[in-house]
Amino acid sequence: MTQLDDRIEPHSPLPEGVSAQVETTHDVRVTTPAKICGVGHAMKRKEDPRFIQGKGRYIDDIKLPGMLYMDIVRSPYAHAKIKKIDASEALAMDGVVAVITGEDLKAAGDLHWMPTLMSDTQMVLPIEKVVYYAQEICVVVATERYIAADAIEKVVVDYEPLEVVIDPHLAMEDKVIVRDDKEKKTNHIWHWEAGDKEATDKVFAEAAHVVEQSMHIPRIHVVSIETCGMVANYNKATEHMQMYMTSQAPHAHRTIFAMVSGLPEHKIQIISPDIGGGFGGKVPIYPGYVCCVVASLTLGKPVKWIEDRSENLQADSFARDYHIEAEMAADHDGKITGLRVKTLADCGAADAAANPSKFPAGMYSICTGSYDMKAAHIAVDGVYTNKPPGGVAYRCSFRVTEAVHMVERLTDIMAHKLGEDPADFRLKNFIRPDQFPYKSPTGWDYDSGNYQAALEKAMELIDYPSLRKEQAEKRKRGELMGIGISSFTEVVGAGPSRDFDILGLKMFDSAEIRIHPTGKAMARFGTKSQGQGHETTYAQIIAEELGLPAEDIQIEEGDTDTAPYGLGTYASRSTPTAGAAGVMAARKIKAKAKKIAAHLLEVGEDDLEWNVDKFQVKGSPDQAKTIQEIAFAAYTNHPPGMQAGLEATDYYDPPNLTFPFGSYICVVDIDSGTGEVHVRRFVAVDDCGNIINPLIVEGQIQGGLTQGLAPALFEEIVYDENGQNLTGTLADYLVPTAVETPKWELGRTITPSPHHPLGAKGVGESATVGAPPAIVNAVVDAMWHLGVRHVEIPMTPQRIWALLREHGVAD
Amino acid sequence: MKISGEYTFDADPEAVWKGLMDPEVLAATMPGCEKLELVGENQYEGELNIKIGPVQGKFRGRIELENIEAPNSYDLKVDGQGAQGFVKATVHVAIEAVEDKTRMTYEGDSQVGGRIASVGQRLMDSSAKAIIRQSLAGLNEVISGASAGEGDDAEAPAQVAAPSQAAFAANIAKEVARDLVPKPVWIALLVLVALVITYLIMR
Repeated sequence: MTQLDDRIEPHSPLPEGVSAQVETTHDVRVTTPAKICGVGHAMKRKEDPRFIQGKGRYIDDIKLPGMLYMDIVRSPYAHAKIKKIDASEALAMDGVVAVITGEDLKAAGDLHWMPTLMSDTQMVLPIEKVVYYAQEICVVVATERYIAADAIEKVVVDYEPLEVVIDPHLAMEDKVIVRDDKEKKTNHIWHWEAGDKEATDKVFAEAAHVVEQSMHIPRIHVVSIETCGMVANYNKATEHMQMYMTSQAPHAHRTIFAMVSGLPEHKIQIISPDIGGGFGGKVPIYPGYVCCVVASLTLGKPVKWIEDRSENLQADSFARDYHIEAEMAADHDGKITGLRVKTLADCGAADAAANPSKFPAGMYSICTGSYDMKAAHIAVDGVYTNKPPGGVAYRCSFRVTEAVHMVERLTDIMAHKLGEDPADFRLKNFIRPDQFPYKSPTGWDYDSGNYQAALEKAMELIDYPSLRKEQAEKRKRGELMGIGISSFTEVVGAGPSRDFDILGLKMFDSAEIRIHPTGKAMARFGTKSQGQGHETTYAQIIAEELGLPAEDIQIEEGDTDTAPYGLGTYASRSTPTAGAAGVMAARKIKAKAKKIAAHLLEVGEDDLEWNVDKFQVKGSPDQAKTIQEIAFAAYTNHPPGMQAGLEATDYYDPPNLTFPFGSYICVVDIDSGTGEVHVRRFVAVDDCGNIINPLIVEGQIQGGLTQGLAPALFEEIVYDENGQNLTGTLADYLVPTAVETPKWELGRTITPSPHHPLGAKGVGESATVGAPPAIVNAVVDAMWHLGVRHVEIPMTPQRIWALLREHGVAD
Repeated sequence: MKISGEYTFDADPEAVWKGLMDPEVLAATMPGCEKLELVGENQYEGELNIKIGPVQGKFRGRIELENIEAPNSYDLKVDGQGAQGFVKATVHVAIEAVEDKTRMTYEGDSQVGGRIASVGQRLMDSSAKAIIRQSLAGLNEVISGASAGEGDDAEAPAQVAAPSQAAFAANIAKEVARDLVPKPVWIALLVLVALVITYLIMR
């Protein structure tokens, strides 16, 4: 693998109609009766009965005969030479079967290195040196989990500590080189630009007002309830490798395993069973997986590896970690004219983000957000440090969280600086509905949007004018109350194959539907639910198209031997891509069903019309054949010359991305004595286009908002100057519970996507992306009059308390 | 992590110095110390069993004394590694006579890494203080005992057992309480913690 070249963001031209002015409504569209439960019904999730009864089947539930257990020896140093690994004492223990080191992997065919999803390389197990704290050193395989845990403590590793570089700014000075395996002896990985630099500089030179702000979006962790794990089961007789794996993208992982290991792809089966949360953290391939596979290959027995919580927190891919310097320009009328951004992306010891290859900083250049402006320019530099690798898109479509945080903060700072109400300022600067089709200054074709409608609805729901009045009264009494707005635009549903891929695999997705003779159905998808409720959503999509009750449709995902090839679930892409594939496959079936109905009714196809769940003769609705009757005929009485059966497959390549949006308003009270931020109210108006299941969408938004509250107030992965992780347990890495979480008040507008076959956009990540800046804006709003201009996240009581003291509040 | 403090021994500087230079005495007084051997001039190798919060493990390490100015001061360098992490420290130790006693002051930097730091972090500061205090108290007992009985058998140091695991845990609890809670409350808490530990040991 070679180092990435410096490059400029490319956007291929898009077909007509994928960006358009679309009317906004407020009510969920429902066209099927409750017994069919098509699109728009608040159907209870089909998967929940097994989950709430404890009958879900996760990796650690997999128990195979003769299964061995693997545990990992990890580095206590962030940067050190490995002088010697002595495993003799561990190997002498009863029950220890094998110890695998980097040398063993090298001997097995250079398996000690692997590619990351970002075309970088990463050590599986090190031979020369370790480059981050908690890095995998070697693995121990034993007959029992407890023996493996005891044995890793008996492995003696002799290290020679090296100087450590943790701060990405210092790393850019190249005094300590993290990756001396690379040809170029530098920590600088890549430089990437988007937008028009010259035009942007001109806008800034002519600007009446310029605001600037530096900010850090700190390193955080996805903290899914289920940690990562695998059961690798190699059968030496059949040469078949079966892997149960916590994978958000089983097909892509199968191909990567095949290409890296040399195992033939038809002999690899990845099964991703129920997954307890992914959030982007189960997209990368971690060294533990590879070691587990090698252990099973070598020993010819099933081997299980399950991370413990501390390993998960310390060694799995992180999210965020962008150091941003941003400027915004405005003219005399307070109209935003430009955005200029420089960013340092701390990648850790390898660039292991899962961004499409053309986009090393993901969709970060979406950062002009919901605002119309003349020009923008973004420059990002990726840099190595002695920290775990990553850059996963934690409930975020490839860096859109960082982009939204930055533009929403700057918009608020500009509004405050101009003395304008942040809501009025936004309403004045939004891209207007009549500006669609709209191309952003950095080249994105927004599919549809109505940002005014969403903000006005949020203001109405929270009674914005009264809040401002209350705030003015409280301020007179010295009480700190703030109101914050975030009017975000998301970019999801990756993506059109022209521009979007993972290691060259295009980001289409797939669906395969089989209708059984008795009118029941089985459908399989290339995505993989990790709690999103695909078994319900996809069933409703097919129910809508074919009139089969959603209850009668079995949805399966995650087994690469049976499901059609797809790129998996992340970046809110399941409904925009695989959901659309489901629609298209259903429509192929419907076309065949029409032919069968015409045959059965002895009329021409043109004489038939579709009515919810049946084809009927135009003008004579009594003459009809239901989808169930047609399905039976497809196997028992199909027309001469037609093949039997009723199934279809579709690989859907979306013509454009989708751009969900929303406006969030947050009200906070700050305790000036303790610095504690209390989120009193939070209204979230989301627009994700047409809604397939309002109950699931509401659940997604509530969970997403809580995961947006978390980095705003609590979460951060902290390292000391030696690269030691100081937040390695859930006692130190603070995750909000129900106690810290406010009551979320939800609202909606509906502006369908003009190009998605159901007009849906995807919603899984909107709330996590949109919530943090609303909370920060509220906190700054509460203290602006004191002279506070910005607060870094997480806004811990210590941080707020110190700021208040700095600005003269001392009660 | 910074290490600093002072301690007053009930003995004269000469006796204290002798104790400080005797690996057997040091090994006997340090909680968790299983071995301490002289391997070269002013160089020792040893094993220390440490339990901090959920992390327990053996550290093998090397201790070196540098810049020795007998009988006034030296620099103590510790370099230890174990399955649970590593410890590195450099501490300047000085003693001086104060009336008929000896005051020791110590000051230095330590670096702790690995699981012991990431998981036991919250307890580490308190644990380090507890180890130091107990070691010094134990040392005081040996030295003052030895200097009182001098002349009879000066060669054999008084036998003092290193504190038990339970006593050590109780001392850590005491340090945590000292750091976190106002005095009257920590005394009450201490009693409670002692009761809990006693219960755990007895059952």
